[in-house]
Amino acid sequence: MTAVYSDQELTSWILSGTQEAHDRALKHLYKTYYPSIQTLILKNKGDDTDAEDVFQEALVVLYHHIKEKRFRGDAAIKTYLYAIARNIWLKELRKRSHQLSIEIDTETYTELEDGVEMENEKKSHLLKTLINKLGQGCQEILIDYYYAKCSMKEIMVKLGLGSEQAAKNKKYRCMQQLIVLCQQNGLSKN
Amino acid sequence: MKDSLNDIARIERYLEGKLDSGEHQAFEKELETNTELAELVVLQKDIVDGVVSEGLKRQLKQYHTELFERPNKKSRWYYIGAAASLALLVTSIYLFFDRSTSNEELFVAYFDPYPNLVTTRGNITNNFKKGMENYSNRNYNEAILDFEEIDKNEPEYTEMIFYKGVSHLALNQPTKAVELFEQFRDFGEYNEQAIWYLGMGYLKLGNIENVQKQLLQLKFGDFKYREAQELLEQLGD
Repeated sequence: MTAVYSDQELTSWILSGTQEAHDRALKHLYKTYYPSIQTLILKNKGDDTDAEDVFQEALVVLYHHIKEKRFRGDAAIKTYLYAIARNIWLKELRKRSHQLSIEIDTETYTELEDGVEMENEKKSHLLKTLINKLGQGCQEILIDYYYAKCSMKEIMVKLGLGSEQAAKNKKYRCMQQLIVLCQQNGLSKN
Repeated sequence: MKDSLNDIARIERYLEGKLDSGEHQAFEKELETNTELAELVVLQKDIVDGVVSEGLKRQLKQYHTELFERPNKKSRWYYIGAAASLALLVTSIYLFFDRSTSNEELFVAYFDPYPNLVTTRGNITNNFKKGMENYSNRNYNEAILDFEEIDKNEPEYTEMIFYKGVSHLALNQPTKAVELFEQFRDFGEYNEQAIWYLGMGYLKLGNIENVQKQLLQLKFGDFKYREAQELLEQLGD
């Protein structure tokens, strides 16, 4: 019994829905579109782990595009996601220096600005590594605040702190640690 | 340090659109001349995006397990998750009602379990691998049980003792943690970290003199040097 939601509904939930609607939209996207991407990857020299990685990577890109209003629903989510996943996998294959031609579906192929995308990719990869270098508490507090949109009050209770200000201070300190890590690793200069 | 907590807070309010119009204008004007501040704004925005991506990815991984992996695996994770949240709830309540001293508050503000940086090399023993998995999932009790199975002459023994000590701290067992760190002393590549966490143990115990003794050993550039200086300052009054 799978509910059917329109692209528009899904997009608006991600943009401005409640936490519950936001999560429902993501789960729905995952459930609906994973199988086709999995097939694409498995047919083109990838395994299940590759399929999972590529699909998740593609969803993250879609998510940011929705948030930044770069995805405006001109194409269907299905097509858009497929094109992103395909691009990611092509690049990965190139990296693994497999010389093979994936059947290119020219209609749905959206060329990404390669240079810019590569830069961003490197940057986000490094950032991910640095985030994982933080202590577990710092990772959680930052994710809870910036991604899960928890209030300072919720974070305060979760951490067992006495005041919202104390929670805020802890969050800023975590941010500071991450900034320093980024600066040490050359991420601050653009 | 230029990127003080104040700047970070101000940039955040700017990025979130929470400055009032006067503040906002003043901030933008400052951005025109203060390149350092401008760079920080860009960096902080990138960081927020990165954190969002990482949070999203972790959630998607969960969905994947939930939706596409075998059901027995799902139930195992479910119970681990439930146990972890229960433990968290219990500690939150405990901490919430038992914040008698400001040392306690300082401990909560500064203590953070060390990340799992152990690479899962092929030759690592099973118990250590399991222990580190439990550690990452915050199942510290389980982790300690796994760690205790590891023999003295295994190569990861030192590393294990370090993570075991941190686990005790995370479980609010500072006495055990301090004992372990004090007994062992030489932690090799984990020395700076061990100094900090031993200090955390003493902080939890309210033994300020020993906290200071530990933190003063950290030199510029060492692990947590900056936090140590801050903490020393706060303990000073």
